[in-house]
Amino acid sequence: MKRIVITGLVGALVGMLSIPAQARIKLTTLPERETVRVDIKNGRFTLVEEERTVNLQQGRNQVDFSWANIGIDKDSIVFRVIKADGDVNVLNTNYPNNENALYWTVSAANAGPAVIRISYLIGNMSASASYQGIVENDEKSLLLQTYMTVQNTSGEDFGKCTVQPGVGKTTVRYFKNGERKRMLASKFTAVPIEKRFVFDPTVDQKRTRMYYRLLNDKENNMGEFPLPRGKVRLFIKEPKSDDDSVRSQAFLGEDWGAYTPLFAKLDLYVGVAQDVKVERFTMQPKGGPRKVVDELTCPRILMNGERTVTHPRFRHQRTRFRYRLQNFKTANGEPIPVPLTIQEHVDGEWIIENVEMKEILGERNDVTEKVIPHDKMFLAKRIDVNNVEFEIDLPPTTIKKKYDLFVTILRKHRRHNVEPIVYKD
Amino acid sequence: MRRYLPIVVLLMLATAAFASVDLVTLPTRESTQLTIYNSEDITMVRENRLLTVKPGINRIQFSWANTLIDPTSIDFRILDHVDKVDLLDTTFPSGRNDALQWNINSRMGGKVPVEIRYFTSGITWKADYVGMANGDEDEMGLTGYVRVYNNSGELYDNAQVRLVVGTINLVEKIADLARRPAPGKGGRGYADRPEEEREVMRRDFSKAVALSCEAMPATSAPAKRPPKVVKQGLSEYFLFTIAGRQDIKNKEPKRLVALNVDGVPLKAIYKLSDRTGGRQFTKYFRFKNKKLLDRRGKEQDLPDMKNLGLSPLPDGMVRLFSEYANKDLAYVGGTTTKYVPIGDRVEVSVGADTDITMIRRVKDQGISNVIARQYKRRINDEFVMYYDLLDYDETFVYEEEIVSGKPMDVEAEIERRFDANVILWGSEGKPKDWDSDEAGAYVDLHEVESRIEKVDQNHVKYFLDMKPGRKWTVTYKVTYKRRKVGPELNPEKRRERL
Repeated sequence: MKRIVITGLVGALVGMLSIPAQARIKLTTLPERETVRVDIKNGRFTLVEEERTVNLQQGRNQVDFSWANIGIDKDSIVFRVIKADGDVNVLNTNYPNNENALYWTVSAANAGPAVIRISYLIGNMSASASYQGIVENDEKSLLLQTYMTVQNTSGEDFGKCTVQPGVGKTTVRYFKNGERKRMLASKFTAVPIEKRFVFDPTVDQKRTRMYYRLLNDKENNMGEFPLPRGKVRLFIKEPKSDDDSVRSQAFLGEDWGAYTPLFAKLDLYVGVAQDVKVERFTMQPKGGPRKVVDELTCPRILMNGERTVTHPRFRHQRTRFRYRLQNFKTANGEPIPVPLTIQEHVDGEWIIENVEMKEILGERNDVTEKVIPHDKMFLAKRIDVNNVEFEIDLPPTTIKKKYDLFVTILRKHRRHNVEPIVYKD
Repeated sequence: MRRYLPIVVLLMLATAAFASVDLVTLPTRESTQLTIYNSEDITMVRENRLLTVKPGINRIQFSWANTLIDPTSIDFRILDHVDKVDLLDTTFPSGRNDALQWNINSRMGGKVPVEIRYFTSGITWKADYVGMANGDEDEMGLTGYVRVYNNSGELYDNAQVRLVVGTINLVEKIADLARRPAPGKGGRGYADRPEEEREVMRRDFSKAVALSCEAMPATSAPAKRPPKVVKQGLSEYFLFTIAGRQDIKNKEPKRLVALNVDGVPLKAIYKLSDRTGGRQFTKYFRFKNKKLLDRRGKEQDLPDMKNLGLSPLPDGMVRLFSEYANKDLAYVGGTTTKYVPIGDRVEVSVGADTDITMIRRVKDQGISNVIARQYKRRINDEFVMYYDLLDYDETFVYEEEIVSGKPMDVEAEIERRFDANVILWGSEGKPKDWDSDEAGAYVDLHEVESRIEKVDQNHVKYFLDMKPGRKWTVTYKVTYKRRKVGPELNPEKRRERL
């Protein structure tokens, strides 16, 4: 049978060490486990701590501990005396050959009951996190609930026990072998959400994605613990209707929530924002093809010490993108502006050389283009050397009014010559 | 066969052992709501039930064998007495992925309304449209349908049906989650069990179903009028709620009218592009997803079902017919359309149109400004001189002859591709770097009577407004300046013009 057995062998057993394992005497009276704590916080190892009361005799005692069909790490077993009448010391720990068992030789100053705690690492238990977010109808905040699902395939039936699944604190009454338990571990109310419309041509060339961004800190009503990785399912509260006693919720989408340390942001891809359209075209830089590569003027020192200049042609790559921006988003039947983020991935040394926003009015042969100031609606954000984000506060558009955003990125490659030097007469 | 998800409430005192559970009551479904998504195979089912609880720990069992329910999605919500009734945990029994138990702590006795919510697979919906254009092709009657397919194996009767227009993100397929066996060594799903065990499970399930069915209310009387579809925006999606209650039967698709609009202004446009072969014009019908206007240009006050521009048009199949004066119909074509936001325009491809023809001729070509590399090679004791072209300019003169055989004015768009970076001399005048020596395609379209649009590095578009019975000739020239075509074997060597 799969279970942990602990026996207290009462009496002074002086010659015990010399007795072979097979011949050990096992008592049938089992002290009941009083409390059990299962700690899965570590992630890789599960710690079980159990408390039992053993009746000790004065002098030497043997406390026997054995198990079957359970993956207990033998070397991890710790024996501690929590409460006893007088000094109780562990003299030694003995491991019988080829057996899932050990026994402690314990000396007690006085006879009587002693509360002992045995801690050990156990295999085949796991905990995983999942989240449920209930978003308010205005999409300004959400209620985030963390659920921990603990799976017990260790082989052991824990009776009444406390489970610490990693985050939050949950008490479980009974936990049988083979069971899975899903428990609410924490609840964060009124967590502010930043709703983002993101166009990333490396991810999706045709569609804009809608993301929610949460911040795991106290200011944003979270920040109690780093959020473990898990699936986040998002639901939205619908506008209250008359025939509904409780507000309906609709499923918005799901995403894997990455491990989120304190003060870090959590980005969740919810779904496609089909009302916000971005098309990206690669254009030639202003000034024509000659401007694709950049020519530098550098000082040159000849062998005889004479100073001249040289014009090495480095691969300073100029890329000019045209983004056709359209926004058909409405709220309560009225067109509204949206915060759009365009992500570009660059590398090495680069600068945003030029930005131009054009308003395109009309269609076909009647198109008029007008360069409009972009200071208030455009912001280029350098995330790091590989990533740049363009944030645009995109006003509503119609079929006959669109926006074209032109961005020129100059990538500098100073170490590589674009071509061998052409000698001129 | 009717199948219902059995729900069993087992009540026990907090101190009682597992064996002493009592079956006290069996709540029935008060109402069911289906929210069906079209972008993914997922349906959210919401059931409301009235649960009778006793003070102490209440154990409620829920099982769903032979269905496509995702076990990880099952959610239990207490709708009333929230301060007195708590859900302690959800327990999945050993080795099973088709049953669970909710442990509820109640500080009161009586009836508590609860909601059970889960995702299931197998129910989808699609939109399709039928358009009837008039003879002049300037107006159209548009009927939009939604069709609900139920292949889930379940019958959902008397359910409120809601359809979500939009593309949600789903990281795992619901059907996969539903079929996944229970984790752990002893974990085996229905599919993994031997037939004998399945038989037992089915029998148990049928028993629970029978119990559950007894208390089911009679289904609603069939509606006399076609149900209305109410449309509502929700985040990035739109929610179409079908008014009233519906029976969604297994393997019986249901089609409902979502839209029936008359007098939609229509426009035909003809496009030719090198992206799609560049030989034939394709006809497109364009109409706007905007509120219809009256003769004075004011927005008409029409019922929701009779107007456009109040909700996006979901992606779906469009079938277009043309109506002759004698009411005979002609099938114009069918295609799929993408999602159309409010205020945007739909462009439906009707297919190739042979009434407008395009003949493209290369009238002239030539190579100039050649720079070559010269080298000798010995062949059979003889030295032969070779020349490799390094830089050269290759010019092509094209003539495009476009004839419209349509009896009315026609708008056409022609898009051409050039296999190098385009430097365009178009309607905006001669560019500064027209005489540059850099590589590229120098396209001279300035003689074309139209606005020339540079689409991107390689594509150029021009527009023609064509009158019937006239031939249009468009002549243009492109010079490809090819640079450094040959290998630079000896870069030290001076390059000379021939």
